[in-house]
Order: sequence, then C-alpha cells, then structure tokens
Amino acid sequence: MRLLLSAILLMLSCAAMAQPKSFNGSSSGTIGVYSVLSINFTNLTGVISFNTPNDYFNGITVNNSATIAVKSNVNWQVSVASQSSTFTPMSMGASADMPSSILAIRRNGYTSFTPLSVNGQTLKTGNRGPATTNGNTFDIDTRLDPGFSYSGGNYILGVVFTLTQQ
Amino acid sequence: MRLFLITYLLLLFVSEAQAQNGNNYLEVITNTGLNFNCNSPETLENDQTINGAITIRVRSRNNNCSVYAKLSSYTGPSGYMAFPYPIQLVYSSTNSSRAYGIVNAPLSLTTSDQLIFRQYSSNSVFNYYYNLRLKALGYTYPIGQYSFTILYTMTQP
Repeated sequence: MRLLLSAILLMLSCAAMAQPKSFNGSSSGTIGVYSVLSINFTNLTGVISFNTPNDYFNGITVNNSATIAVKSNVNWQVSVASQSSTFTPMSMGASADMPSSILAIRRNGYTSFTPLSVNGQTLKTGNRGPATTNGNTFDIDTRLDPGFSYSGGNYILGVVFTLTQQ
Repeated sequence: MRLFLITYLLLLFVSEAQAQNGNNYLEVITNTGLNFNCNSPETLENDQTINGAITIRVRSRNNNCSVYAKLSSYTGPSGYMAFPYPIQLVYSSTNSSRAYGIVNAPLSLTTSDQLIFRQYSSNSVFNYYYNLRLKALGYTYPIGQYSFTILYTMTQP
C-alpha cells in the first residue's frame, strides 16, 4: 500500500515538473489621433484680362480656374471670402472702390456663382478621408463682371479659402 | 513513507522554485515612452517607428523556450475599428548566441499569441531589441486617444 501511494506521489511530482511553464511581461503605450485638415490648390488661373468690349458687356468666366484637394480625418467644410471689401488698385488711375463682389466663385458643374465678400460663405462640405475620397477633390469656376463703372487698370484681391471641421 | 512524502514535497518546492527564481525568467524593459502622435498629414500618411523601444531579457536555464507577443488590450474612442490593429513589433537585434527561429519580418500584433523568437537553454541572460511601429492610420481612423498593452509570454516545454 505504501509503495503504491509512493508511486502515485512520485508520478504527481513528475507531472508537476513536466507542466509547461510560462513567464509574462508587458509594455503599454498610447496613440493620440488629433484633427488633421489639409487643403491644396493646383491648376490655379493667374491674371484675368479684360481686352474686348464683350469682356465688359458679358464679364469673364473661367471654368476650372483651380483644383482644390482636401485631406481630413474629420468631416469638413470649405468657405471662401475676400480679404478686403474692395480690390486694391495696382496702377495709376485705377478705381479704389471696385467691390470684391464683382468676383464670384462656384463649384464646377453648378450654375449659380457666389459673389465674394469679407464674410465667409460655404463653398463645399465633405466627409473625412484622403483627397481620393469621393468629393474631396473638386474644381472651381471664377467669374469677374465689373461692368463699365470702374476705370481701366490693374487690380488685385486676396481670396481666402478656409477649411474647418464641421 | 515519510521519506517519500518529504521527497515529494521537496520536488514540488523545487518545481515551483524553478518557475519563479532567477534561472528562468522574462523581463520586458520599455526604453522610452511608447506614445505615438498623429497630428499632421505626414504622421497620418506614413508609418511611425520608435527605434529601440523595447528590450526583452530572457534567461531560460532549464529548457529551450519560445517567446510570443500579443495585444492583451487595445482601447479607443467610440466608433473605432480595432482590426486590423496598427501596431507592429519590429525585430532589431540580439546579443544572444542561443537564439533561433527569430521572426525578422515586422510582426503585426493581434490579440492572439504570435511567436517572435526561440532560444536554446542557457545559463546566460540574453537581450532582444525591438522597435515599435505604428502603421499609417490614414484619414478614416476616428480622432481620440487609444491605448494598448503588449503581453510577452515565454514558454518552456
């Protein structure tokens, strides 16, 4: 009986030693993901010239005057505004009161233009994603229609595109 | 009978002692903060690597050993999709002369154990150096704070 009990005890001992052993350690870390929004312009149209009477009668529309690409990890909106309420005359005799509203912008493929003012106006909204996400890259059209109220000359106007989180 | 009982108790004690003492152990040393920040297009579009991030110290005197790694915890803000996990363990180097079966390719961690190396039994303590990589998250990963814990397990047959 003793021998049997001893044998069982020895077997148990061996079994205890034969069990796979494991040892653990760990390391921890964090990932901080913050709002990231990026806007990029390409294919920008430069100087727009009024050379013929028809240019003044009808105004000038430049389709696809720029391509805007947005990358964002949050839903976004782009607004547009003029930097000042009037164009800045850059040549002798040019008018100092030509309003920014004679410059208007629209998304390519749409009919109505948005005349610019110093107050931001929404141009487009979109979903988070890279520039390749549907709707995150788009073209704009530009229209200038000063009529006959202002003197000939060179003018400049800053246009501000603002990309924000919705 | 007493002799066998004492022998049994001693064997049990030795067995337990072997699992806990300095003959066999795994130690994880975090050499720097394992923190990633994604706050610019570049950091969202490219992998980020913390070089020399982790040292795994192994002593396996009694037997050969295998070492595994897995994510034991991964949490994030509401709406995040955990899988695929963006954390990779990248083998850098070792001073071990007893290593074998080292996984050299970047290892994308999951919640299941994956082998990272094996080592023949040895009296020596050896170091294994690893970089930690965050795969580019892109622009669809929800913003917020994420945390993770990597669990390393050394097993002996």
